[in-house]
Amino acid sequence: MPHVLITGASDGIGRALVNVYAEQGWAITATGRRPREALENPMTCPYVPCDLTEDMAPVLDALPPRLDLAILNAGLGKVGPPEAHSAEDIAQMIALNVTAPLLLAQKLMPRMEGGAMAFIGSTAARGAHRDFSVYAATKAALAGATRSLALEWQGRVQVLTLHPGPTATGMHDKAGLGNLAARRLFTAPDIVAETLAGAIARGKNRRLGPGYMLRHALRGARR
Amino acid sequence: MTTIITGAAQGLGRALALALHAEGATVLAVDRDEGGLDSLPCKTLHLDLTHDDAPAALAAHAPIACIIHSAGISGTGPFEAIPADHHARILALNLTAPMRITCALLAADAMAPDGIHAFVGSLSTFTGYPGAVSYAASKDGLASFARSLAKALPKGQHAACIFPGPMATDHAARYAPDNTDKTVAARQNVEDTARIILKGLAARRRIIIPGGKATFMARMGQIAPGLTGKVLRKGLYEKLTEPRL
Repeated sequence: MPHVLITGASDGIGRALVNVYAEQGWAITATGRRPREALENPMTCPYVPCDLTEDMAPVLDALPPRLDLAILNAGLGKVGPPEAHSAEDIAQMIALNVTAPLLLAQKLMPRMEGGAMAFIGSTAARGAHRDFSVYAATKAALAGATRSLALEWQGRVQVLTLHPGPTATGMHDKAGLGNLAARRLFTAPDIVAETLAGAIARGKNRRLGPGYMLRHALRGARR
Repeated sequence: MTTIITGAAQGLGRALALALHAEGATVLAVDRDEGGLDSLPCKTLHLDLTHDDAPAALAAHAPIACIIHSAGISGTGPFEAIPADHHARILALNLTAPMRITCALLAADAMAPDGIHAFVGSLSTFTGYPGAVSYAASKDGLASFARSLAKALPKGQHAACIFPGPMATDHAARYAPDNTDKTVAARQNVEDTARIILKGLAARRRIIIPGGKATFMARMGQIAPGLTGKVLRKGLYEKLTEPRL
């Protein structure tokens, strides 16, 4: 049975990915920052509560000696104009969105020869939205790293970068995004997770642009 | 009105500080390397940009006509051979510090009404950079930040990102896989690079790719990313057997 590690699994896209891989019969190790008791639905697979910016050891200790797939999905966003970002906000986003996945990838590499690592970016990475300047920069940084890492590790570990667009998860509330009408168009996390798992299975990078979001919003409205 | 150049003790930052000083601007040259600052003719400030107090120390020089974030370090070699704390240091100086400083300068209203925020990125945003994963990460982050910032700034202020290729600096000599006469001769002169950058900033351009060679490489990266990646993997990564920090 192939084994997958999913980070940021307590909620949102990560949680939906756990369901997709469970249905496909994978062995799963899930990790998130929330304690097990705080999960909304109990998870059937092993779940390791862990803050990846502090100590990765609990996750590494829970993993088998050989891992087929790692989905490095944990991330954090904050909305607001640049002047409203504190030093702490910026440091946290860099730590969780960039430094943690890179250092985790470094630690996972020895047990993943022949496997795949999928990094979850964001369509925001290209920049140019005034209220997502720092978040977008951290996702662009992650994508910049994985693009070069894919070249370094080619033939050893497949490195994929997947950019979801606006998804109906708890991240936007945590990020401080208001109750915009546009949020009704955001794609459901289970649909996004299925698309991402499909891209991973095909070994392709994927960007879920506005066309993807609108297609699924229309499909939902017709139902 | 002050023009701030970070990383001004050597390389491109130094060339920018000297060129601006020669033009008559009031330049504040900032670096953590005190020795390198001593020989500059302009005002200098010895400062570690990753320190918590750094944004306030720069905001004290308001109104700021222009700040060029030129300070940067790299680390080349196989990704897994570079120590974790060095990856973190690269991100802290190259990406976290300029974003923190920018946000703090805006919050403190320290910029002149037509002030310029300029970030020294890298050609790697167009080409990729196997052998310098966290450096490429930091520079792609800066390019994205500059684009968003342009939308977020008060009317009148300007944000630009600069994408230089290899230059004849200590930085290049330190991180390149080799320093043979041929490689060194191919690197662009810093004085020329500084001149093109300042011209671009004066024209308030948002994207500045200094020099013909860098512009050509950037286009190659856009038109043929696969081929460019292969060339860089062979020419850089495969020669970097030992990490260079």
